[in-house]
Amino acid sequence: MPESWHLADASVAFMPGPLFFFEKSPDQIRLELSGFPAPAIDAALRFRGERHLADLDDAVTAAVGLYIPKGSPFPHNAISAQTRLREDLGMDSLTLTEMMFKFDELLGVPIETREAAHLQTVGQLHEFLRAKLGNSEDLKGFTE
Amino acid sequence: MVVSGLGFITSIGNSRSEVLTSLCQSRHGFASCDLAESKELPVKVIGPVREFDVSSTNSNAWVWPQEYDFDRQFVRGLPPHGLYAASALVQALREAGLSADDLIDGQTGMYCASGGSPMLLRHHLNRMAENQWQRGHPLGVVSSISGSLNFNLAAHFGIRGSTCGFVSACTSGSHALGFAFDEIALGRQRCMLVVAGEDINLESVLPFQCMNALSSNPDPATASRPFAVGRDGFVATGGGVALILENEEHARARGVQAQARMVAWSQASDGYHVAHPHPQGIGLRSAMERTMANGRVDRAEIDYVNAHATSTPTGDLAESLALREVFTAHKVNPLVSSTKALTGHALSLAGAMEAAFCVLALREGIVPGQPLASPIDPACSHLNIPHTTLAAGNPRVVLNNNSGFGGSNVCHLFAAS
Repeated sequence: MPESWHLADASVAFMPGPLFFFEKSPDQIRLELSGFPAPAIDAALRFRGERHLADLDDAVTAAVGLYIPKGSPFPHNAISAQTRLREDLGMDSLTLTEMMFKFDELLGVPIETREAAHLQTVGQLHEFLRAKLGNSEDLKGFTE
Repeated sequence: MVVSGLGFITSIGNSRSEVLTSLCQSRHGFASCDLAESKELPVKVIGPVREFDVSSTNSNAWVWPQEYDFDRQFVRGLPPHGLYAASALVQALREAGLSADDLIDGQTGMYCASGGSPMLLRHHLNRMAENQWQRGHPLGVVSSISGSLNFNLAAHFGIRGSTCGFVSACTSGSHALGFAFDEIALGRQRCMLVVAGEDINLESVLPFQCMNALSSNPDPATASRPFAVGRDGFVATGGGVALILENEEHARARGVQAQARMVAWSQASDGYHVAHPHPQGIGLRSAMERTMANGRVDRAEIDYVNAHATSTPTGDLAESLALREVFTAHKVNPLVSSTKALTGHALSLAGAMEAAFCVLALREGIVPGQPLASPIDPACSHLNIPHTTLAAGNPRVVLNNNSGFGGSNVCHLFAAS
């Protein structure tokens, strides 16, 4: 069988753009979370479908695991709301900015770097992102 | 000056042994390609890199061979070709017997060559535009501009010596190698890592179509035909290649086996046109003469010339005329071939990749052949082109030619160790 390659327009294939999270298809969410731990993807899809904020927290917690620097002694399965992003997980400012930009893209809500600079723990991150979504006029009927 | 290590991620193989097999068998690495799902595009063939998937703008989704243990923090800042180049560098370091501790002594430098990643640059700028230019990926710049390779690799490998990136289009890799040679010759560094890479995706390939530089031949077996009748442009490829260059005494003291000696290099420019070479190849002619003079080598000692020839009508002719003036006119007839007949044109990577092929040829005693898809252009008939690889060619002195935009021409001279 002759070898055949397909060079796609990657920028078209991956266009989260300004789409709000709940306007994205499940496939788009899977594409944007390619490479993330499976629990993050599963929780994100549950949140999209059922809108339980606890699923948002679970997705965020699992996603945070991707950004833990290699060599960090902190076990990924021990991340809790009290876990400190810098002191416990070893994240530097560039990693924190990168992670916040990912949440900006995924959720489709603008997050300025300075807004998130004060966040210390995973729990504060949960609250911050819940508040970000809560500020959107499109939200309806969230449950815990 | 010796080359002590080589690494290859190319269209003709992802290791020294694979590349050597492809060169010996004159086996090309081309494949049919469906570009942007458009049947209207005339470009149908590329030289892909296999076993890697760096097609996504999301580096978390990239796939590469497990033998290369790169963590997310390193990969996140890379352009796609950065993964190729880093993998090639791991191979070269292993072959040269250099450990991580050897690289951080301040006596080891790194020179790189790439055109950056137009794919990622486009992606990140698009994203910023969608956000009204207020927000963007924090690693958008370092992962996409043309210094991306040296930024990332120098940091990751802990280089504390000289570092730089070279941007001279298709002579970038050659310039990186040449100036690395100088860095050691001038006593500034004992060891130089030379790493080159290039993407192979829509954005890196299709702009050359706008210059009518790409072949529209849909047959992978015949699209790249340097010096031959009917050639109509180059076939694009990408990948990553690394060469370890060392002071000979340093290499000997380490007990490492030299792959080949790098004797000299030089360069000269055409001063003629931004995109086309001088019709008589005056800059390349001068570069070859200067290189042989620098190396105190007589033209009669040159056994093999790895030509730049990319399979374009004007470029190949200019080089053939330069070779005629340098060799044929003096009744000297070295073997000449363009390995782009097997690999395609790797742009910024080309000069370094083909220098590595020259080293391999000297070490293994072969002269790479150039299978011909059609008769040689009569204007190039003075060239002594082997149609198949000479397994016992045993070249002793080899010249590597490389030309690029703006009339840049660089040559390297290698000898068997």
